[in-house]
Amino acid sequence: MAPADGGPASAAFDFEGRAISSNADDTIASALFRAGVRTFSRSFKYHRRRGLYCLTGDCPNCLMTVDGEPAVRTCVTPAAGVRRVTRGAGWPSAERDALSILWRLRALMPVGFYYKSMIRPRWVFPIAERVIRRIAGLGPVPRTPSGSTKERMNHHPDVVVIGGGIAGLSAALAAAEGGERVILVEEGAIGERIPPGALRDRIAALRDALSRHPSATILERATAVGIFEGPLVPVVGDDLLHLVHPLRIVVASGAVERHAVFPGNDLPGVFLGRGASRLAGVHGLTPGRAIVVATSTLEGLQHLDVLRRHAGDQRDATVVAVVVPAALASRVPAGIEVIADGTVVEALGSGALHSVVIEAAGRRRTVPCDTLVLSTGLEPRDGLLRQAMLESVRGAGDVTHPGCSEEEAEASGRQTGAAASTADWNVTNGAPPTSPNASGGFICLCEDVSVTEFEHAWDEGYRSTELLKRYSTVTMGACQGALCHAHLKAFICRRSPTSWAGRPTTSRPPARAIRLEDLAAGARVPVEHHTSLHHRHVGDGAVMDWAGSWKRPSNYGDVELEYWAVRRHVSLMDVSTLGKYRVAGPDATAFLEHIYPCRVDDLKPWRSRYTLLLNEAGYLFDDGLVCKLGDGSYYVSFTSSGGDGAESWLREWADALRLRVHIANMTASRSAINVAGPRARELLSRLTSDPLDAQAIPPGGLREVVVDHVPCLAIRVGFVGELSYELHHPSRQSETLWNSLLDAGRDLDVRPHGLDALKLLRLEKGHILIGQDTDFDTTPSKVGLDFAVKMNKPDFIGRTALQRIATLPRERSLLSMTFAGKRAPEEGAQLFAAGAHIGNLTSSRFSPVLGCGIALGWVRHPAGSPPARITARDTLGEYEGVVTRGPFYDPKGERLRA
Amino acid sequence: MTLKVICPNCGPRYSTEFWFGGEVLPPEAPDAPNADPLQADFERVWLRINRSGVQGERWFHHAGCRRWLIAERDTRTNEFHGPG
Amino acid sequence: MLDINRTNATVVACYADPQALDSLPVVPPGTHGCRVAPDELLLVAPPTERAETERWAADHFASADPSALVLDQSDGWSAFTLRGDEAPSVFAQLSDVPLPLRRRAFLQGAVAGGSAKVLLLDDAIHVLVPSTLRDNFAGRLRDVCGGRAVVPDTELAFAGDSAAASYQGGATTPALR
Repeated sequence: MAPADGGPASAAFDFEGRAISSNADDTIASALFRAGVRTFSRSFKYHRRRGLYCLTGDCPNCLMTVDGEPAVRTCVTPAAGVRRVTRGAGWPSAERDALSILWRLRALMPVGFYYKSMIRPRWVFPIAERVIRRIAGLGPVPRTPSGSTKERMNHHPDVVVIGGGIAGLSAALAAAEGGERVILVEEGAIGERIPPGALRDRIAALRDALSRHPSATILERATAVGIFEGPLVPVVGDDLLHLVHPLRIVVASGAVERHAVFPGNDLPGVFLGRGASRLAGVHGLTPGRAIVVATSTLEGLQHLDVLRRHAGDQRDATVVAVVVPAALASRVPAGIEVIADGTVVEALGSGALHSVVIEAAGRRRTVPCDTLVLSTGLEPRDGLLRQAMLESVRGAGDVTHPGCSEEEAEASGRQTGAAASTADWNVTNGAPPTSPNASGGFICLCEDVSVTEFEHAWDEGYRSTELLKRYSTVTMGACQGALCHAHLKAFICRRSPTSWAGRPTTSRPPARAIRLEDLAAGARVPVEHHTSLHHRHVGDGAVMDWAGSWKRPSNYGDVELEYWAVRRHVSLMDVSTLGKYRVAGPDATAFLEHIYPCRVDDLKPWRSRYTLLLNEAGYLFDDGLVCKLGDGSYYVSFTSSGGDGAESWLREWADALRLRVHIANMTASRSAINVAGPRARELLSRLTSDPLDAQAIPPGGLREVVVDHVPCLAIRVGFVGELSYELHHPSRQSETLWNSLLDAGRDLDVRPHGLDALKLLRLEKGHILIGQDTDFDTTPSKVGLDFAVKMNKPDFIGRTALQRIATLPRERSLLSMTFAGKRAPEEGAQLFAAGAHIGNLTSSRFSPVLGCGIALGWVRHPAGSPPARITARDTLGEYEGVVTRGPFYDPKGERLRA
Repeated sequence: MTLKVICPNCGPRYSTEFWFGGEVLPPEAPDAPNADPLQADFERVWLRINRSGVQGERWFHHAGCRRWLIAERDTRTNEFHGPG
Repeated sequence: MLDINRTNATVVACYADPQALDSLPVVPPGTHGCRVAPDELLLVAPPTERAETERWAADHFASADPSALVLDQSDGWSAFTLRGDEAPSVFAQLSDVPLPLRRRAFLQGAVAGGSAKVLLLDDAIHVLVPSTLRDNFAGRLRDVCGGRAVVPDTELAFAGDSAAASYQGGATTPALR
């Protein structure tokens, strides 16, 4: 790839009102730099000007808001396709920022100042907080959803290699050559950061070799988020969230050039070696006109070489001086001043670099320049490695051996990538930077933490690694310690070597900043269960709402009409959501006898019984019906929300009791329609020749009947308090059955009813809803369900617990109450008696048939029996109520037993 | 997206496909002569060992075969020792 | 290339003693035996074979395990068939269950958020989801296929063929009988 030469522009984007042109190879930052932009951001706290620095996506200086998204690393983001770029901070603009005055007021904002100031009087802080939010930060977060429809993709390779440099490519190649499936993940485009030369050619060759293996997949512009248990490596790509489930992981994420700390180190014009070299070698842009290079490594000399080659293109750009250790002085090309064994102690400038102060042989001299290029060593970019200290994770290349040669990187990659590798992944804690006692400068560019602030924090007593980190917020910014962690360590070691924790601070995902919405890719849609009549309900105009994980009709437009249909003539309800199970096998009876607190062994064929489900603590967690079929097997049902978990409950106990039972989940294959109302029998008889009278199907009885050619199990149930037949039938015939019933009952004014009507109807009969009227620790006697518990049975789940609980005084009960008047209290209304708070309402409705409010509520009565009169208080007012017993409507159940 | 459970019917799957059924308690010792059955029941229902180390536990594979499995897991490392 | 259809299939569930299920003779041609658990076998067959399959199973168990429970559960499952070289990647967008490299297998696990059974038969991936999740699954298919493959309203008949080995539990890759 030839470096971009500023040839014909292929695109343009808007930068704060200016049109900036870009080439195909440009990043946003390089296009801006070419257009003359030098201030890329304003720093987090002090609003100091910041220019390009690392060009590897590690520092915060180039973060800008791109197409509405804040904190985009413009130095590694291609300019292609971008429309609008703005700098996040700065008022009125980043160029002329009035808030830069904050640097002069820094004495008022010492480290941790927000913990100590602006907190008294108390009303000050909320105001201060709003102001600070506007001033600090990386840019506003967009308010409107991006409308992203990104999906996720699962991969199951043998190996995933994170990092597409020499080591990573070699590792992936070794794995592929060994016949393994391998995925290579690279956050940019492979090789794009390397200036043309031998290294770049080698990378291209490795990449070519790798792509010839069909078992190798290369993901570019894909950012690894972290290493999670599994192991799982989520990778955010442009189009997809890739979830990689590998057997082995190779981390080859390389190293970051060392950040240098001295006063003025954050001035625009100060570059890290790799950054300057990329700008010149890849983008063809000289970083400045008068360049000083300060390096202590061979790599630095390579950067010098690149700069000279490209600075030569710009006639007025020269390398003014090179600061090197004496041992490397001979390698500096002739014609450039060499300052041997020198150290940069200060960078001078106001908003831009104009000279550097170098100390050598005890003397200090000021060298005028507009660019300082620093290349003083490498720190491993090992965040990912430190997240997961697993056997299956290995490191290769610079990340474990920073500064290794290309040959060494390639060899370590090959060794780690091969399947049978026993390579040692231990992170090499590089020697701390040897900069002298820095008298100033920024340690943390992301959070604007200077050396002074560190000293203040130390003086205040924050002397351990973790405390100093949290108090100063160092390593907690965009770079996540890539630039500053080594200095944190150096600072502590110099002050007090024993205070250093001995290990790096904890690395946590994400390794790079990512959008939350990307993590939710492909998981946005909640799972929605539908009955086979779902589309019919929607077509009939039903208001559909969530009921657990189902969508069910709340009503069909007129709750009161539906209610009266049930009470006065006939109505249908789709109750297919009920959990339904067939229980058969030699020990079926013994099994159910133990599971339920009621008797099952005396249940005759074609009869049903209401059942409770108790756990071993004696607590009620579901209810339902048990039906005995003619062949001796059982058909049991549970509530709609309890139905799914019921299978785990049944199987758990079948296993524990070692009984031979067969449990078949029929929830989906069987649907159910409840035909309820005084004229239910009349309607059904029009569609079946099977007998439906009280003899043939008594209350609580069941029978196989064919309703308009649909084979049904008709069960007489009593939830709504009218004559009802619950027709259980094969799901694919639901719509047929529904239509037949509606057609045949036209003159009876039959209509469907939904959950709104149902909740009122059942309340009129005093029936509880598990989870609404019960808590996790409700026992049957507290809610008047003693009749469903036979304590004289030899054993059932929860029996011993109920015995134990029976020895305790009962201080709380669910009571029935009525309230005169046109409006019932709200559910959740608080209850009082004699001025004292005694409970709350769990269900409450106005009953049309009774003309008053009815409710169920929990009442505390420690002193004995509960009060007879009660006051309810809700958000709208107070209501006087009377405690009653038994069902509100048709207490003797005559309507239901017709 | 979490620890992997090894289901004997379906193979290794993420624990999000399962419901956790609690630790397997050691078999109950024969009742001591003066043991209070109510107290013993309370302890069996409510008290757990909560071991730091390998423990037996039950998992229900709701997203797969919908059966219970018993396995051993090291609670310190989440290493599964398979059905036991 | 990608082809997606809703599929009509017979599903007969057999609950019996593990030994009776182990000793099941070769299933009728066109039917696949999927061992869900030691005590449960699902027979998946073309839709026209509903009665036949149920009768065949009842006959077999009458002698092998008279207390066995044989139930037609066809209404409880909705099947979708993905064909073509893009089918595995569509599947990988809906599930983190790894597809084995062999051409025939039976898998169980979470697909599109629901509990699903998966039959791999040569180049077809048949996904069976509980029928209550049919709309949910069809919707997710549309999401990940970007509108490319719209699931038609009509169903194609499940066309199985007599198959290979069987899964008996354990850590081995699940396969099909």
